[in-house]
Amino acid sequence: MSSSKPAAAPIRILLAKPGLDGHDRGAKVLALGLRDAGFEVLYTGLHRTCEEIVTIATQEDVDVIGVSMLSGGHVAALTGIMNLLRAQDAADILVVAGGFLPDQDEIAAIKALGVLDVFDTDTRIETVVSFLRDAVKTAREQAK
Amino acid sequence: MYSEEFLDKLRTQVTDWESRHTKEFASEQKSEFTNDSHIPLKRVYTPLDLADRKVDYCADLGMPGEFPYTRGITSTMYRSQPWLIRQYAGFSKAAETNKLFKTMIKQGQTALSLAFDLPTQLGLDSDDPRARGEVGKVGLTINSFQDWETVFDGIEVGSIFVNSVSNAQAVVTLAMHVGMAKKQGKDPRTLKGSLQNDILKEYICRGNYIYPVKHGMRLAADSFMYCMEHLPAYFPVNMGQYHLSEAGASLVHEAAFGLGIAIAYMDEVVRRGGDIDRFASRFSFVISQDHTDFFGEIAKFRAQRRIFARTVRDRYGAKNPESMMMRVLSTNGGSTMCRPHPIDNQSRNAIACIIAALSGAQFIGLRTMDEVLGIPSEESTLASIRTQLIVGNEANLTSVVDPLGGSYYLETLTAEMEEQIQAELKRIDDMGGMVNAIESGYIQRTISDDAYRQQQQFESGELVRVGVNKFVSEKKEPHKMKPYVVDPADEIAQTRALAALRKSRDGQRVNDAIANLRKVAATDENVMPSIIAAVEAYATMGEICGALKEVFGEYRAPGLF
Repeated sequence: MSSSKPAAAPIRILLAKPGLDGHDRGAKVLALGLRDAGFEVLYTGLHRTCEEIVTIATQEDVDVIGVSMLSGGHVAALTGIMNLLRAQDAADILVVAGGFLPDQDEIAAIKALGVLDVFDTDTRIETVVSFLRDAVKTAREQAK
Repeated sequence: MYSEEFLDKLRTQVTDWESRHTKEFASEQKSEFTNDSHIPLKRVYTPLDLADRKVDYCADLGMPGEFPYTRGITSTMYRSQPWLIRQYAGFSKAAETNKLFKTMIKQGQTALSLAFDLPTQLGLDSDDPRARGEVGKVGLTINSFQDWETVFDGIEVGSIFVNSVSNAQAVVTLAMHVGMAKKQGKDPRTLKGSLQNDILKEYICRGNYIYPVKHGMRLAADSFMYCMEHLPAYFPVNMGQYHLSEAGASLVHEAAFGLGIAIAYMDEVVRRGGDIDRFASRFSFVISQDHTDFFGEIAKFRAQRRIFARTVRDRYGAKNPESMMMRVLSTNGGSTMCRPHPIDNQSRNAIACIIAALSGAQFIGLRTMDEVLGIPSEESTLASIRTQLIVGNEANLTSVVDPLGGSYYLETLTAEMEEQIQAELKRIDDMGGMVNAIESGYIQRTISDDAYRQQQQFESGELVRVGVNKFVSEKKEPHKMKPYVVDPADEIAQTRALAALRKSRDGQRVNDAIANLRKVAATDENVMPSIIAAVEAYATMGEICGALKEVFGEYRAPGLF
């Protein structure tokens, strides 16, 4: 499990594209940015089901799943992912979301699912990097 | 083009000028000025640059309407025919679409455009679990020929031009249109229309693929060959080069990969014994022209026009001048629209429109200023149409053909981009062509690197977006947001209609048609006739695409970045 990793281990993140949405420029740019910041980055490619995403995440022992969507179907996909993580006893994997988020209410609904934070398309890479470093550090300390 | 004596005189003049102004040069705001494709830009351009690049007016530019068409594909351009305004729109239900089409036809509209929801584009029926929540969301739902019949109820298909944004399942929508003509008792040869049908770019960026690359290519080629033989008034492919730019490709990479894909299609048609003149004369491109590099975009377009003409003539030996003319819909990218002040996007649209007009586009489509917030409003769509009308009618921009032609800067840049695009095309050829270059991930990686570099430039402030990363206003402008909400009742209604169809149709006929399709797909035979038979038996989109999946398998994106 990710939380048992040493505090200084590189952060492993799975960037995931659920659903039928075909836009992944943001996911790919973020993948390159996180890689350059020292993260170990995996990317699912397009059109994955929630089951596939959670399976890859647990098999690959990632610290974080970053869910990218531009079609606006975040709530349904994230509900599925969070439920599966809990069911597979992998709720220690942190989840963040990003993409095109037109609605403040929707952001609140996503966070209520246990998703750590939501980043819109204007977010700078360094913002995501420092957020994830802090979040994973906290999670690893708590797991001790 | 110039005498040695003249060039020597000019060289001295330029050197003297430089020595007189070194102090001012030191005050320049950047040490290096470049364009989007990292081509260094000089302070000023003179005939020396054209001479250095060996630009030959007669061979490289020539006259408008003549080879190599650098200055435009017609001799009079907008003096005879203004560009056509193409704004994009989509609707979800067949019956609504039918009503709207009838209204549009009454108002004199001669071309209709069909955009489909994601399940339809991916060959999934509305009752497929993967379609949940996506039915009717971004366009029309087509589950079977029945839906196509509803869309065209009371509309004579031969009398109107119909464009379909179909790619992975273009063979099915094409079959439906052929079936519709037959059903109306019309000769399918009278059908007028076009398909996007650019499957290769789906694997690179747009993501709406179904089958492995070579099978996707085979289906596209089957439809090309079918159109050439049976539908002479049909445009079987509309190159979606715009999507490469939206995924982040630099100007040079967008043009090179767009041309690389076009070459892959032409190679395949020729390999299958098709007539290049018949195919290339029905070819068209959607290219991206953003407001972000004014001269770079114009140079890209002109360079590409020249390369296309030379490629079609010299690589394939085409004879018909129509085949060598690159017909283009120019459109700017949604990714250049900014969110903090949506109204400012109309200025960006206006610049993009001027770029397209100065490049010599046949069709122009602009973004809508509010699409950064959701589905565009009618008001913003009309504003974009009026922006085109203002550029075309108020600015006296259209009286002279290729008005920027001959600019030392533009012609040098055009030659420079041509050279870089050709070098990239050579690289793709050396890899064994576009299909190999896609399968190896080279194209996807190159575009991701371009996109990443742009993001870094944006974050460092080198790439400016007013109101976003520079000149940011403290005050947030209030704006109305209209996120599009899908009515869950639509999905239920579609699913019910589908269940009713499955009960009422002749099940044996469907099974036979599907079995036959499976058999044909496993051979080299053209699948079009068997798909038409399956469509006419009311086999669903999911059943037809599913049968092909059994034979071809499915493409899984490798998760490259």
